[in-house]
Amino acid sequence: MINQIRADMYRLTHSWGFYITLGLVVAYSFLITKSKSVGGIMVNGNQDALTRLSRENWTALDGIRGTTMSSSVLMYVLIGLFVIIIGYEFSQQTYKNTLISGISRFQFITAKYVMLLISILITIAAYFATVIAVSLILGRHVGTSWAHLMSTTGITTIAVAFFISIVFSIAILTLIVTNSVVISSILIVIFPLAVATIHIFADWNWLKYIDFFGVSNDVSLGKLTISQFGPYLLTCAIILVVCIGVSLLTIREKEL
Amino acid sequence: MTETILDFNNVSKKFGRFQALDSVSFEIKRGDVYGLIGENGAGKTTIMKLITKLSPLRHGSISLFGETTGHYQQALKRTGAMIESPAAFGNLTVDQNLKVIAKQNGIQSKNAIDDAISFVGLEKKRKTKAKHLSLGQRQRLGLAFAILPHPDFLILDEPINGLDPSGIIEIRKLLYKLNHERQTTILISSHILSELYQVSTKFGFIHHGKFIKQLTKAELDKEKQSGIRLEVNDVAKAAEVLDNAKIKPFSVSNNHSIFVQTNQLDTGKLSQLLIMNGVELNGMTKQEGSLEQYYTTLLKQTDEGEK
Repeated sequence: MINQIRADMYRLTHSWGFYITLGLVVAYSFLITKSKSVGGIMVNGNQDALTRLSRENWTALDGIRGTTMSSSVLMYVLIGLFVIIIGYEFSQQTYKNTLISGISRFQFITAKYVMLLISILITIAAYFATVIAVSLILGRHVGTSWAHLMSTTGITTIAVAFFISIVFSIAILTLIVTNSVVISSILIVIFPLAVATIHIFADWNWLKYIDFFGVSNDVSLGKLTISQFGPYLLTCAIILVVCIGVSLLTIREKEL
Repeated sequence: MTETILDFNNVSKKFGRFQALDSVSFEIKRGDVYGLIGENGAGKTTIMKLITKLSPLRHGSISLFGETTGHYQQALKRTGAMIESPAAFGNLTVDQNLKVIAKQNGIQSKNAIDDAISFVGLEKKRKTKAKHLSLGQRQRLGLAFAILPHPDFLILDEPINGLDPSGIIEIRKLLYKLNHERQTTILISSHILSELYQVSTKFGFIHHGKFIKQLTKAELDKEKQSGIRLEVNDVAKAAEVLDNAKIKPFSVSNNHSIFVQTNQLDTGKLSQLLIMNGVELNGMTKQEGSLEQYYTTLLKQTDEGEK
């Protein structure tokens, strides 16, 4: 599995698509931070925070919170990573080379998920690092202690990357079932929109557990305690296990 | 006793209602270059996909390097394969594509990539993106992927598809080198039977999903027919003349053609014999026995046997 991750990492770092994605993410972060504009797809937009962010002079911490609220848009940019890391394997049938090399189906699926998680983590880290760098360049205050800023940034980075990776794990399952990069990419696109739209028409409380970006916002705003975070993590873990498990069962029975 | 590399035992495979393989059994021993012969849809690629686990096995058992079905992940590490069209990452160069395969296989040595590239003759294309390679060059790249980990067992599905004559000759030499210098056991399929005949040491014939015959090259050479084809105006009379002259065996192919299954006859004397007995001889062709001919006859016999 480690060999597969190394191979994917080599391929990713030798692909223009990765650097373009990284560039777009950094540019998006720069624009939000500089213009102090917040936007994204949310089920429960935190009005207080939005109002405050639109009025106040931003500190670096406000920058982190503002960009977190805008992070749902990153899904669309990060589709590129999904296509490079796993989509291309199926569209070009290069998975044959991979599977013939003696890697098990479980290792293949897990390696792909881990690689997606790593690449998303790198990209999201760059996204928030840009906020801090731009804030400092623009002479803004930190807005809190450096330790608090760094811990908030770190936790938010992990939360956003993890939540995006959960959506991508659903996309991996879709890809393996349908063999279609297009359908799985469409799923990534519609997921946050669907959660927000369904919430408007059906007032289902449980939707908050799959409103990953809403949770990320609450994390960055410090509104979720560790004990409150439990059900969200559990939901994610269940989705992840089900997606990887069903992907594994599907690929085992599939004619490749 | 020579080690059995592959034991394909009583394997059946269905795709919906279509019986792709029907109780197929055969063995490949160390050092064999095993030519798998069959028409389109006969089941050659299915056999290769089952061996490499690209297709799930439902009936029968497969043993690779002594490890049995479902548990031969390690055996697959000793196996290289190119099945159907070679797949490569189009935006990566030949060199980079091979680096990906090297990393997947845990190969550290840079020489391994250089060796594979020179082995398949892609030195001048190593900085070319895979999407810009010709069909033949992609075929070579696929072969380089397969041989990069120095496999003990190599599976090649139509490896000379799309190659020009010089490419075919090079691949033939390459397979010879792999088999003789690296002692690689090879399972190969091709539609170009004359080519398959040149590289293989053993042959397996498959027809409509059934394994119909296996024989070594020496056995094939004995069995395949060579002789003289006679084009005559009256086959009945010609047959009588041959019979009287004790020229045997022969077979009547159609109303105007007889095939004498021996190459030892003096063709001048044979034509004289027929003409002297009033048979009008319109043509005479000396025919060397070929794999194509043997294959055609074998299929005909199989189909007649099934009826």
